[in-house]
Amino acid sequence: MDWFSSILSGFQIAFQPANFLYCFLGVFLGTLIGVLPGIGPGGTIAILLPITFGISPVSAIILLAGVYYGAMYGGSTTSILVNIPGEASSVVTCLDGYQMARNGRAGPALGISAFGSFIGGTFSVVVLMFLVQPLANAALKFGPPEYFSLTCLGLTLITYLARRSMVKAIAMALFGLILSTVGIDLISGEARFAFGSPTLLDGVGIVPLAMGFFGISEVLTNLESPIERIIFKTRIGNLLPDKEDWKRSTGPVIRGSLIGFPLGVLPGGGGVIASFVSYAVEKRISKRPEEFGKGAIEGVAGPETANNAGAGGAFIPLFALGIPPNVVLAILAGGLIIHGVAPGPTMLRDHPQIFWGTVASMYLGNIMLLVLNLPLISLWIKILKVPYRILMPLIIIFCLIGAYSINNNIWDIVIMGIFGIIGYILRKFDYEEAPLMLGFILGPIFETAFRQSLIISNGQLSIFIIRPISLLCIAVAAFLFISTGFSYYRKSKIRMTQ
Amino acid sequence: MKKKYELAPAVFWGLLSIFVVLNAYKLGLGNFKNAGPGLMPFLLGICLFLVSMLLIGKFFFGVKEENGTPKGISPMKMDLKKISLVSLSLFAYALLLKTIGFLSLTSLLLLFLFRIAGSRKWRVVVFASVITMVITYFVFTSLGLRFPKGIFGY
Repeated sequence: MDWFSSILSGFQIAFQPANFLYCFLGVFLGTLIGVLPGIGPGGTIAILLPITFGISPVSAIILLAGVYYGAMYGGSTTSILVNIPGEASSVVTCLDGYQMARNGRAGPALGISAFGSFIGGTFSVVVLMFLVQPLANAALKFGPPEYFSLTCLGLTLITYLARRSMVKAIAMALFGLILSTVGIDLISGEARFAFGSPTLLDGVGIVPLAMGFFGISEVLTNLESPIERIIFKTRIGNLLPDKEDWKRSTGPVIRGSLIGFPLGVLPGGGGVIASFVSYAVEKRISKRPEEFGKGAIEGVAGPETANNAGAGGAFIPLFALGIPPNVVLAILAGGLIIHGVAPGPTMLRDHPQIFWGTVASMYLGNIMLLVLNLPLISLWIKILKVPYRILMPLIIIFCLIGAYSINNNIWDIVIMGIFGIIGYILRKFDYEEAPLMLGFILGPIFETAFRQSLIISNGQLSIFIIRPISLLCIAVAAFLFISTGFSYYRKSKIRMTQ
Repeated sequence: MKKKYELAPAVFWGLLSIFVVLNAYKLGLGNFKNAGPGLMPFLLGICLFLVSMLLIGKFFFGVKEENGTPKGISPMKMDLKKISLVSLSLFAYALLLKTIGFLSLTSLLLLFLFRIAGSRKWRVVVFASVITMVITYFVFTSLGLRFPKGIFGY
């Protein structure tokens, strides 16, 4: 099937009434949870996973993907109107978006954010469509050593790009990798760390783990320090940016798309880093840098475009290599696996309808989001006013039902509770959950590829450095470790001499 | 100033790594030609042990990382009562679900959660619990999920 027929069949799938509805539901829910601080796309996708069991895999992925990129749109609303980012990727939008609202320009801020998101999101889908197939074809030639080295590099990048301490991120990634070894060893058939529990023989489930870390621990944290939401009282007039706004935003939107997409492809990247880099670039090249932080429209247009372009870019490593670059797509990858679809290069060969259907739905989803966001802005503001004392019990009940309904097993609720408490305590000590979840998801690929490589090479570890792609990945990972260690050593030395 | 409780996670990682290494060793390591089921957890356990030592070393001798400062929430300042009550309610829910049944137990849990979350008026709490219960039950059962009925039959 050629490229044109593929995309045409993708649109046929996306336009089927059920899939169209799931796409709408996904982007609506995504915007909703993007607006609501206290629950993110990761937790929502984990909650929705059991619900998708009764529907076809393509509908399920259309729904879950819609939640992911829809959340990127919704996150900006709270940043602009409340000065609280609904999502981490909208943190930087607070700086100028909220100031614009204070200056009586909430309308154009919300408008340019929606248009920028639409352009960035659509741009990323177009590039995604062109890049995935050749990358997947190349990846089909990869052997276990390449996969092992790629997962090594992915995990290194995740820890290297951690927002806080790299050592803490490494500890979390290792914890995730260790958790992934629980259950029956697929090669020898022996039970590992199951301690006689039939539930643990199947391993730790991704849904209870994700719900524990992203649902329950979030609730426990917010229970202690409730989120205060004071909506800035302003009249939201015309949402359409004027000619001057467009003139100032065109460059940031183009640059945001170009910066966001490649940063989304990087493991650990996604929308967060893309939005920060875009903001820094816009401030650096602006003729009016002094306006940044005081309501510059470029500070909203660039980052909001970049985070949506990054969200689309993040699908490339998942679809082409089977390696999720961030935690939300890690949970989505878990969803694909539950539906019997292995993400990666074989997915395009064995399940092309899922890939092309999802890509086509992303076009539709971006249009729906643009249509949804602007006219429904008053609805989102009303939702923002829902107090946390109402939301908290709902989140817990959804988590409980979600965890139980995976296998109709009460022990999954217990596992979710245990990881919720562990996640809450680790948050207190400033540990990030993302490296753990990625370690957990990549763990099986990491171990299987390592052991298969050793079988191929008759026990020679040199197999990882004699194959060029593998060597490149290992060398980059080693460089990142060494450079971080060296930088830390230099800092320590300076501190000691002072 | 460094606070002693900041050492707790490093010690936790250290103890966890020892536990993993010992259990992985029992599983059988094999060798690189014929890796046993314990080899990967063993190697990961060793790495985690080294990381825990690094964290302990950093605590005593290292410089404080600029990007590693906590978000202003002291680990020692926690609302232990609320956190314990909510956590215990989750475990109690799991253990009693099959006996008491989904509808009865979830209604009780919702009443408890709405109260602990800060809703003061009982009328509001009961109304919110009933509405939530009815909507979630019908939404999830219509999606094909089945819940335990318990001794009361619902």
